[in-house]
Amino acid sequence: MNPDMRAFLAALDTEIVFGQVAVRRLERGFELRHESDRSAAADNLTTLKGTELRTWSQQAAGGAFRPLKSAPNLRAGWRALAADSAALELLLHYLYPGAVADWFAAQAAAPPITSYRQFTARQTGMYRITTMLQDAIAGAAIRACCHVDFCLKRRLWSVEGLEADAAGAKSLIPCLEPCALLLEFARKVARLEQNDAPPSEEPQADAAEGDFDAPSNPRRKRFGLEKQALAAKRAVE
Amino acid sequence: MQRPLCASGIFQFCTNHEILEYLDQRWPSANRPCRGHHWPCDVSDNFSDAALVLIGHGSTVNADSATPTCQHADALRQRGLFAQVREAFWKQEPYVWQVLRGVFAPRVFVVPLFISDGYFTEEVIPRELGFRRPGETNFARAQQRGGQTLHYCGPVGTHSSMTEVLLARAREIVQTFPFPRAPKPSDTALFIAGHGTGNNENSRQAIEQQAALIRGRQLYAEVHAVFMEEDPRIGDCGRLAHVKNIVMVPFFISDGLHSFEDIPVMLGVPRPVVRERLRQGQPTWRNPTERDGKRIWYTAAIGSEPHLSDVILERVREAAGPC
Repeated sequence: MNPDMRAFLAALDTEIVFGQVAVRRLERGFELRHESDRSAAADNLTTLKGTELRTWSQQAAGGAFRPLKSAPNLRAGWRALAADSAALELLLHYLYPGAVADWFAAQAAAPPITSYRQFTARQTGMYRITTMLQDAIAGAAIRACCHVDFCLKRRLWSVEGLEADAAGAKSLIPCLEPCALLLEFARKVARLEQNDAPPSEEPQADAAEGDFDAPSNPRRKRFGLEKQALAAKRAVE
Repeated sequence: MQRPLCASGIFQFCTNHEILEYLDQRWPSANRPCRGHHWPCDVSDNFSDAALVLIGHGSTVNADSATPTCQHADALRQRGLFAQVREAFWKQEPYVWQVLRGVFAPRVFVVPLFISDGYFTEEVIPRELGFRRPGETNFARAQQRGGQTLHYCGPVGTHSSMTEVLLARAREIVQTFPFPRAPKPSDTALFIAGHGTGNNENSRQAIEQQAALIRGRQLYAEVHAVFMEEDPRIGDCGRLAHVKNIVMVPFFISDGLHSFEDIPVMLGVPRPVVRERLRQGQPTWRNPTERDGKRIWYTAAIGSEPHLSDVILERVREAAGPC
């Protein structure tokens, strides 16, 4: 057994909630279900097997693609059974890819955390522009992109002037470095800052989670609020 | 005399000459101590102490891009050859920069599911895996890290056995849609369709190399390389073909915007029709379709071709070297 799973099983007494998933020990093996279904009768839940769980986790209610598995919109109504630790490892991998390994790595004496500056400094091509964001704007972009409405990972990395998430915030799953959505979002913010375009006043339905070109993207709307808060703070100062 | 070349099933049988040619290509003779060994004794197929990491591009806007990588990871996981099989992506979790944290085997083989050597396979992925430091022009493909040996393998798309994957795709489409009857290869023009871009010569070369390899086998009446963004264009296939039947294989890993939408439009289907078919969940190209006196079969992207799992294994064997 890999050391990350060994540590995970050691932490799993009878039940552990990992992201939005409750993992329970059974007499033989393990059961996984959405945390909101913890008290639901098993007969009322759809049993998903193996890769069915990955397919299930790819779509939000309504069929929208979930580009980030740690988004707080995992659909409920299912349960999955794992006969042993290897099967459990795979099911957790389908639901939260890489998360058990990150959870284990975060417990090291020196966790492998990569800051926004370290991460963006090594980027090339179209993402080089992300190095140009000033700390305050980068902070607003991170607050918006990593808001608890969009991601349940506890952010351990940061940028100058922004605190990492507090212990116990969001979920057990740590975030050790910026993700592809953050990188894409920072690129969009950098371009918006260059153009200094005013935000649209028109109320619009939310665009797809990963579509940062749309002003109605939920993270872009959130960024508008974060910038307003930043401007207000600067006015007070 | 013919005998089995390898257990992968890509080449069911090959001549002795082909075996030696293949071995020479994989391992220059100076580095290959056992040319006289019987195949496959000089190749270690024991990867029970090893992890396989498949790298795909992925997407932040649709699930299709990751599908072939997940498909082959599942298939190779089921074969039970490796202690661990993990997939990773540039755009989806687990990310390229994240994946090795969960890989603990002493030997690790990283195989990019990409078509050509280029920006992603030579720069982005090696950098994010820690194989290559920013600014370095070259890097070691095998590296020691702690107690692990990491092997960075070549992309699947440039492997010589991809020819078999392309031919399988071309065969399957006319067998699946034999209307009014499946044409013989000798009455068919085969087109390998690639993206092509002025920014990266390797993108074009990978397609042209495959077209040349297939042409050399003299199976098809004609073999052409065509491109989305370079000449000769995909839309020129009717003019380029001198025979009535055309089979077009998109040399892309994933079925996505290009293969589902852009190429059918280039082949003559109006974009609103393509979008309506997409909306209704129908295939965007109907096999075969008559256009300008030519009958055109158009296949899915090659990434979902089951034989690709064997090409991945070939890349691993190359990196592992002779036992």
